Amino acid sequence: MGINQLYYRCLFLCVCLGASVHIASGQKHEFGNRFEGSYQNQANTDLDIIGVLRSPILFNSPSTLSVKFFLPATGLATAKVLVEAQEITQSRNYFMQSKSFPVRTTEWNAFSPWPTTDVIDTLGVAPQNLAVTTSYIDQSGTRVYLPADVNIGVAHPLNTYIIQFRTAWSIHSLDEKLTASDGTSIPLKTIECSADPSCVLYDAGTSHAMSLDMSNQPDGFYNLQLIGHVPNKFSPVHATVTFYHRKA
Amino acid sequence: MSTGETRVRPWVKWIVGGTWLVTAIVVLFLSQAHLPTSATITLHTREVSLGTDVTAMLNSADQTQLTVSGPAQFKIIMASGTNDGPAKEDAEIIEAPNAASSCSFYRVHAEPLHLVDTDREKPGDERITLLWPQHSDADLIALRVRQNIRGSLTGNAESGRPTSFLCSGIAPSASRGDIFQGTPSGDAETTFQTMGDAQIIFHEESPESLEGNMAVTGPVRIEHVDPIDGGQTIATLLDPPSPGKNQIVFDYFARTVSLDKTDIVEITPGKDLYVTSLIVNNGIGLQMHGTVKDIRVGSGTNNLHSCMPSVFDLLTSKQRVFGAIPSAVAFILGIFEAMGMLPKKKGTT
Repeated sequence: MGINQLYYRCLFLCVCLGASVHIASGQKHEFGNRFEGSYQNQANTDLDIIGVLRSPILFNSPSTLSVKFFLPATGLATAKVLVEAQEITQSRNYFMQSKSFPVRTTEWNAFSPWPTTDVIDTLGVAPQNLAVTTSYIDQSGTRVYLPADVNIGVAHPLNTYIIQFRTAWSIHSLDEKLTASDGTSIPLKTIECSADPSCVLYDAGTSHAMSLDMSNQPDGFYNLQLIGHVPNKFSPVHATVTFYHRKA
Repeated sequence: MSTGETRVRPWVKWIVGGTWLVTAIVVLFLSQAHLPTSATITLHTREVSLGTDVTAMLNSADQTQLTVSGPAQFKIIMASGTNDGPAKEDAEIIEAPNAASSCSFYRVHAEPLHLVDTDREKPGDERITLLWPQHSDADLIALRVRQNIRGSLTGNAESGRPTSFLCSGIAPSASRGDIFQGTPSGDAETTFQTMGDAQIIFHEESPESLEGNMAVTGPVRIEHVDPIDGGQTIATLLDPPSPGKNQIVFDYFARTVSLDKTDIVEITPGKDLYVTSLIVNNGIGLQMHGTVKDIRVGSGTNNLHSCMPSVFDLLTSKQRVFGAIPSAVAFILGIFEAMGMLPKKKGTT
């Protein structure tokens, strides 16, 4: 190997190393189809929806991820679907936000490529600590979630959804209410800390998941209400997840 | 021929000038340089992260509630009564697959947590973060660790209020869904091991129960990195319960540095810095003692400055006087020479 070759290889290595250190140091980076890095651009609320998935996220690094989702008829001239990812337990402040990408209504769509080598591997974000939402804003201004299947090429969507949320308050019990678009109420469970009347089911600042079996429900729009009762606080905290269910 | 003027000889000029210059340089260096020194640091904060190489941390303590969030495996011995014989114990293995999974244990006695030595490259690599979440109980503290942790719990039931547990977001099995709750067997030990990023939340029964010594081997940061504002660091110091103060006392100097609530603090530990007390009381009351290499304080990451005593501060009054003697002698020498009071060689005028 000539001196020149060695020099350019060293220079390339230094540039790569510098880029890695730059990403690890916490910045927002622009890639072809997305912004990704160690940042956060969402304000936290009492109960944040951080993931709406239709299968667990599993991959071995390095991989190129793909996010598969079904987009219903939106009634919009142009549907702008947003794919966002963040950590379930924030330790590196990882965040990904898609740029505008072409989608087709009433069809299965995919957001790709999303290589883990760009940021995920550099920051050391584990698949088990990744939450992903895919959504669009409808005509009434409501965010509609599209349960997503994050995969590495072979999709395996399920009809049991995983709803991941983060609570800013300590919660004693959580009511889950599901309503179909025609107003039909579908009974769900209430999870309650039964150890004592003021015990804590979910601590403040923690993230949790609930599973929602939709295998017996017809396709359509649904509203999932999460109502958290806070010990020693009169008003509960709540979040509404409007989503479109499409059987896999 | 004598002109009546007194000429200062060059070698005297050099001696006087050189002595003053060297003294000035030495004083400047001593006032800027600082050596590791012993300090006692008392802080009340909402968040602290530090590097440690301990294998076991936090004392055994009674907890009204202990929650493990994140990928983990639990082994719980369940009590199950039978009609035709004594109660038998069944071990339940619970898999928590991801960071949104959690298991809460109510009224338990927790043993010290053990960091599992899986891929530790060098001691002091482990960073732990202790948080006192907002909108939470006064006695709550969260511990975040990247490395795997092993822990064990035993029942600490009160009259009429048994030890119990509730797990959610867990991997479903043939006999249960993703939520599972129950009562562990009386004195049986429940064990758990986290796998990767985990958060363990303690609800202390008494505020003093986290007291203990923990070696600090990596930088201590009293700050919060705010992801909403592009990684901006924000201060986390809180008003300590009366009569406490947020302060740094340098043990061998008459020097105390008081800290403001808006201060960010970064501490570089020396060879023997320890967390000597950790009390949860409307925040995290932290006391550290031992050698520190540097302590930087400021209102932002670009505004941090060392508050360490300088080497000059290390000198006693007597040493400073001795240090000033050469300059004084050179000064007197210069005056004598200027006045012509120094003897000259024969043949010179």
